[in-house]
Amino acid sequence: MISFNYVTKTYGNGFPALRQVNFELGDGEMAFLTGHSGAGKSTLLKIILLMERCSSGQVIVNHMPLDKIKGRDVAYFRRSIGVILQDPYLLPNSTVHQNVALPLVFAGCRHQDIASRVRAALDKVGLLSKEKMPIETLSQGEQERVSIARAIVHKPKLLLADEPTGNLDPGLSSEIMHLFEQFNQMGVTVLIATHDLGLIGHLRHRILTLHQGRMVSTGVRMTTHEEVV
Amino acid sequence: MTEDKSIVAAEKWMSHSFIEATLFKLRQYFLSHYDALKQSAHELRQTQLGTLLTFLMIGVSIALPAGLWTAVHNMKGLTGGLSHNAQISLFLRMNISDNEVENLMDALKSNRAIASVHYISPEEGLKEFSARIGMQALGDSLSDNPLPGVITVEPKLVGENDSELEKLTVFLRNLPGVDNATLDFKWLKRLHSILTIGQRTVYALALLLGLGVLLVVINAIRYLIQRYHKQIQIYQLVGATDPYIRRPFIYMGLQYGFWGGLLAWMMDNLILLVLTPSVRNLADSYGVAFHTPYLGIGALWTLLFIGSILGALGGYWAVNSYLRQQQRA
Repeated sequence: MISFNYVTKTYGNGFPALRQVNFELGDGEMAFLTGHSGAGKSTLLKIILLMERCSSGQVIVNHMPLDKIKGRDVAYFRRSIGVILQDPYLLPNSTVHQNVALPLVFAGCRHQDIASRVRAALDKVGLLSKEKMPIETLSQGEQERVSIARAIVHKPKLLLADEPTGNLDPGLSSEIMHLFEQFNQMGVTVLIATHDLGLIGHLRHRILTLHQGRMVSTGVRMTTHEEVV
Repeated sequence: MTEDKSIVAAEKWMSHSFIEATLFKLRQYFLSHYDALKQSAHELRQTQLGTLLTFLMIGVSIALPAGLWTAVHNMKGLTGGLSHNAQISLFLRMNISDNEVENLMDALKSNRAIASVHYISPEEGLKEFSARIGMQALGDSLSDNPLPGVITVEPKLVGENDSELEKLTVFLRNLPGVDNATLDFKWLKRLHSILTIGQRTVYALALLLGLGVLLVVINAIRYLIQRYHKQIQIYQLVGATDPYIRRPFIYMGLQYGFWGGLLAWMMDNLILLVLTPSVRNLADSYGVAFHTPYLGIGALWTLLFIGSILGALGGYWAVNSYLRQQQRA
């Protein structure tokens, strides 16, 4: 699903955010991307989302080399991915329904389809009862779940999350992680960037570790304290 | 047979579903434009004062060249009327006989370049002159009439043929019995030159102010883009295409230009309403017919069209440069 081959990203000021990064994530896999602040987690996700282009190396997502995707096709590429960011990036002055429906609206879905799929997505994150409510009236945890519903409403094959639990308390964070696992069980490939090792400690998934822009571990977590590289 | 029927049914279904899909796509396309228009109108209503000021700025920028163009156009009309009345005065020799005058009149009347001729005898001239200066007894106090006979010639040539008029004047000056011929046309020529300069100035001004409208719209749209920066980011993140993001801003620019054009039309007509009586008096004093110079429905459509195009272009430019900037970043 995702393949990074010797990917380097250097910003205009000469700062190397990623250095010779190599890893692969298969279809239907779930992995955590960890590392300290500034390790390059967000840059890596931005490259997958085509919010940034890598300076050298090759990135392949869903069998598509990203350097072959032209500017005008980026929007169509993004429609195949679900994105959740730390700041939920929701439209103010809009209802929960309007926010969740966005990817379907852009994809040109029929009105009736949009309504039923939005309700299904909201049901999955437990917010069906708040469909008509304005975004401002929701708590932070609920807003994060709206963001998740928006990310899954168009049934993407790949789900990317950048610090999705950064603003949430531990209880809510576990709940959100549980939701991601559920989506993964339905066949969705999930990549979550987080620095909260405590949260993912008990989960049995691959952990990719970045340190100062280098991928220092692409292992599989077998137990909480044992890691095979 | 059954197989054939099923193939036909499948083909029917295929063609039906193709038409349905095309119609659906078309419907979605027009709906998205309608939504963008509605959204842009809503956004403009949100910033009432700013929107009104922008409308006014655009209105003034369009009204100025449109008003000047109307003024120059009307002045041209007026001077066109004057050129029809251009006269050449032939001052006859003092000792010319009545017979010679008659011969001269006949020769002039038969000239194809001349529309009409009118003879003013020295006696009539003195009488008219006395009346004009308010001294009716002037003729009685003079032993000899010092005024020559005058033939006024109205040429067929109109104002555009200045050199032809000059040639005709020289020709008439050399006719037997004519002492001098004057064509009081230089001031009209100067006026024509001034009007030509005025017309070109209007074009240059229209170009500059058109650029001004573009800049006003670009500035206004850039401000709106900054306000909706986060919303645009969200749209991009979940798969909105650039045309989708551009659309409402183009419609905003279009609306700025449209309402600006309407305001310009209203402003110009208001100014013309105030100026018309004075201009009509001036025209009457020259004996020239003056038509109402108001900007009509045709001009309204033109201003709305120009305003809308400039506005839409400004909107497109503003949002496109923002999107390009984002891509570079």
